Amino acid sequence: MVGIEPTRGAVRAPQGRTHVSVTAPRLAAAPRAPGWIGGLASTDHKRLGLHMMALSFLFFIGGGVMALLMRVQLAQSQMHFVSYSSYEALFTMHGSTMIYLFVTPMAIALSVYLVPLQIGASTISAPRWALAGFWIWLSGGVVMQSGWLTETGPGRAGWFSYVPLSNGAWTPGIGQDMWTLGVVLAALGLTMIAACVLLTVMRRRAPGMALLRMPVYTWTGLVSVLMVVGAFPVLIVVMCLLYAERLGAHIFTGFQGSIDYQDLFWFFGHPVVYVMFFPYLGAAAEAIAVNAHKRWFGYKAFVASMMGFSALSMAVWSHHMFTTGGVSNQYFAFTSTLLVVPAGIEYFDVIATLIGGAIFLRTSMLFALTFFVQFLIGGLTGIFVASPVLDYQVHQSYFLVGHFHYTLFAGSVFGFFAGVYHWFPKVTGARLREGLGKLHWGLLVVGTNMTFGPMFFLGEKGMTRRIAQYPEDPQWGTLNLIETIGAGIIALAILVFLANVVVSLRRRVVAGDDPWLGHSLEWATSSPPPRHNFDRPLPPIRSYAPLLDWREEAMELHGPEMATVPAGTGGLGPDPEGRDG
Amino acid sequence: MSELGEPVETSREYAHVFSIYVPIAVGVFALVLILTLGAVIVFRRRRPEQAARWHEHNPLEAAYAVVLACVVAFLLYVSFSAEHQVDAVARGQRPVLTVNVFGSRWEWHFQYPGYGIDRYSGTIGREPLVVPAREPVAYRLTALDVIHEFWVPELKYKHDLIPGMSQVEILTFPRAGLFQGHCGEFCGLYHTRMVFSVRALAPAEFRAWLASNRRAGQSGRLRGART
Amino acid sequence: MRGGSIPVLIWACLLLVLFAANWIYQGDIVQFAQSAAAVIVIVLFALAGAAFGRGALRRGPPPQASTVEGVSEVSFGAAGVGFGLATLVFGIVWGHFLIYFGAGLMVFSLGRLALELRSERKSVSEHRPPAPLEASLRDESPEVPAPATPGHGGRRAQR
Repeated sequence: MVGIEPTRGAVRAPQGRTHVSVTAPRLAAAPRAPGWIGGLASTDHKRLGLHMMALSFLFFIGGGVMALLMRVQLAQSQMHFVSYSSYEALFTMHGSTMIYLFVTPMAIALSVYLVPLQIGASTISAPRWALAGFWIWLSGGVVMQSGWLTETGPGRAGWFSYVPLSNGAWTPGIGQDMWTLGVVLAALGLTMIAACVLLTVMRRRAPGMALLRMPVYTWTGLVSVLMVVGAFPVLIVVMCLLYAERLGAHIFTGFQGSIDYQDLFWFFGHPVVYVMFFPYLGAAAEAIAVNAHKRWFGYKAFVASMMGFSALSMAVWSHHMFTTGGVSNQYFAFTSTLLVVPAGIEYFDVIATLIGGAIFLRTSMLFALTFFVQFLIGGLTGIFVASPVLDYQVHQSYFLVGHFHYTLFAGSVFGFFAGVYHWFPKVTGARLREGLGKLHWGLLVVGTNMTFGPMFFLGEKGMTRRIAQYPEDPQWGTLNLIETIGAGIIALAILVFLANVVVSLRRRVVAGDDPWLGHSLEWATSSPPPRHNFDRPLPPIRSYAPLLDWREEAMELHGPEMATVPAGTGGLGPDPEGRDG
Repeated sequence: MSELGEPVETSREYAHVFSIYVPIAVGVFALVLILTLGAVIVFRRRRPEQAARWHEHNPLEAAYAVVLACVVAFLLYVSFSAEHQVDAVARGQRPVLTVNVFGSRWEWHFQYPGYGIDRYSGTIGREPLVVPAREPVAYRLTALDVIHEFWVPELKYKHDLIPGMSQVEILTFPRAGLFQGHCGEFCGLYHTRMVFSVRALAPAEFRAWLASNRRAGQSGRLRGART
Repeated sequence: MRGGSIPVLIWACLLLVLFAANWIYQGDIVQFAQSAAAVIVIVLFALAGAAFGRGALRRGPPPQASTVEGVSEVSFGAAGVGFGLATLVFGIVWGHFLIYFGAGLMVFSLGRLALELRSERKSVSEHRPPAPLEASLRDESPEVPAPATPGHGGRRAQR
């Protein structure tokens, strides 16, 4: 094979670095990465990323079951399906599981897997640090969930756990303690992993991979890990302080104490929702550009707007506190409404990418398009609540629940599935079925809009969040029932997706290196990639879509049929004269 | 916008901002949906070699960003004007009456200082808060244990009750009638039951109610009464 | 490596502007402290990038690297440190025996980590570099159409 010299397990990566593969310390006679035990301690960023993605998805299923239980309780106004006590545990753990253990870690895991491949690196920076972080995150998740097994139940003060409600007097019990420490561990683990991704982008780009040639996904991943590194440590601090408060230390006392807690919490709490958005935006953007056979429009403007969007997201947090009377509503309304500018640039870019393209409506494209359209509903309702006078009505109501579920579920989860259908062939070597994929998509669109659409009306009319029963009212009852049915349809869609994964892995349709005519470097290696990502020389990197550049050059020389030649062995090859500076 | 002498009505300010924000949002959504669907329909199933090669136009995007900034400035003008009314101007009004609102797990205690009247709602009862319509009333919001939230959906307004400091909000009910209220901030097991209602009476009827319910010996008086 | 600290520094500057405005409008000490902490962490990352490679603050694409680097396949040391720390924290709530177990596991794993790193360094220093890069590429690259002119939209980057 090109470029590999089997000298004492050394691998010469085409970027010029030589990797000496070290399997075990000389003192231990351990075999080479033994089976699944070795897998648990693997420093290969691809295996680490996949483990994290698989576990995050399991947490998603758990959080989803909790949501279904809540929706059954709310199907009618005075149901007695679960007790008030169970209900408060359910909504706390649903939110906590989805945020700390699914959407955020999945976004970071996607970056762990993809970023090194996209920038032409053979490995992630500080892989041991990332591995330790993975174990800390996973343990945090287990600690948090093990509250279900305690007598007082798991965390039950909401996923943001405001004081004084969450202190030792008002929410006693070991379960809430475990929730608090579980969050500390999960946040610590995620921060450690994000730091590795940040260092990777800073230090391990391939020759020629200037910053303004990094793919769109990598930029969204970069700004996300910047937010993690900047904001997540504050969560660790506030949760440690909360734990001390629960033990009796009077840290958050009086009015200012409550405000300070909320300030500290939301300083993390707002950036985290952008960490839960940008990587999926990047995944959807990649799927759209590739399926439109056209490079992403307005790359420089997009990069600038991503930098601005993410920096701005660090300065908007107290819009969660408009009704407290303890913060400057004007400053935070100003920064929050300003988010319209970068968001608008992003939408301009996606539409301009579609116009003039050659659009193939594959499942990944359907999910990506729906991501953009549905996320917009979440974004527009976000601008709605950025206005204090409007927020005074809908804060902590179902309108808000609808807003953030449109951004996180109708948005990010759809972006997630776009990424799954787009990169599954690269990760596994097999394609997902298109028929089942489109069924999955259709069910999910119907279910999502049925579940979260009515919430805007209910909230505006006065249905507050976190209640296990609601007043008798024919309109409220009907809308809630529709939402519950929608939740069932979502569950069905997820089952179809799981079936698709099982079928596609059992009866494989071989994908090849580059099934979609991709633009970026991950498509220039085998599916799945080898241990050090690239065992053949990289193509010349002259823009953020190197493979598309290659194809367009080949089209100029050899005619339009070169437009559909995939990268890889037998297709477009590397630049033999080494002009990849 | 309230003229001199007319009380600030949160429901009116909300309706004003709503009437600007929502049409803009619906318009933007419709535009993006039409452009997206249109692009997909028009450019579907072309051959890859037919895809256009152009991929940037920075002056156009810069101009577009300026347009967006102008939209933001307009939205902020609308928002800040309304917020000024609801927060600053409302607080500057002279209320005809002050009501103490005590929130505790999981009940509301409404107290009329100077009249000796107490009303309780939530898990322990359903006595409505009685107030005059169309006149500004000061609500002193005090939390006794954890954070609660005073929300009357038809008033389009809520405010937190945070233990450690009372906050006074001056609100005006726009018409006579019965209004439902709910605690908006999760406060524990019976948060679901922490409901209340407000009966707004015409000013003359309210004075009659006050007179017939006040306890003997209390010396409270309404301020700046308008009949 | 090259240019790696630039976006990090730009981001820190954006934060500085936003947080300065926050201080003017709000003047709250907690808000100031957490904002300052975030900016400091980000600037530290930028400086760390600059410390590890002189090119981190220079613009342009990264050049060819020719270093030898050890890459481990597994690291039970790192996994053990992570799991040990988590067990220790869990023990704060669940029982002191877990704190001791976690601490012990951490110490043991840190020791193993030290051994792993030493072994890695030893493997790297004993590695004999094989034939030069260009020669092997020219011999073994498959037959491809060589682009005569630089492609549309791309810049010729300097070596």
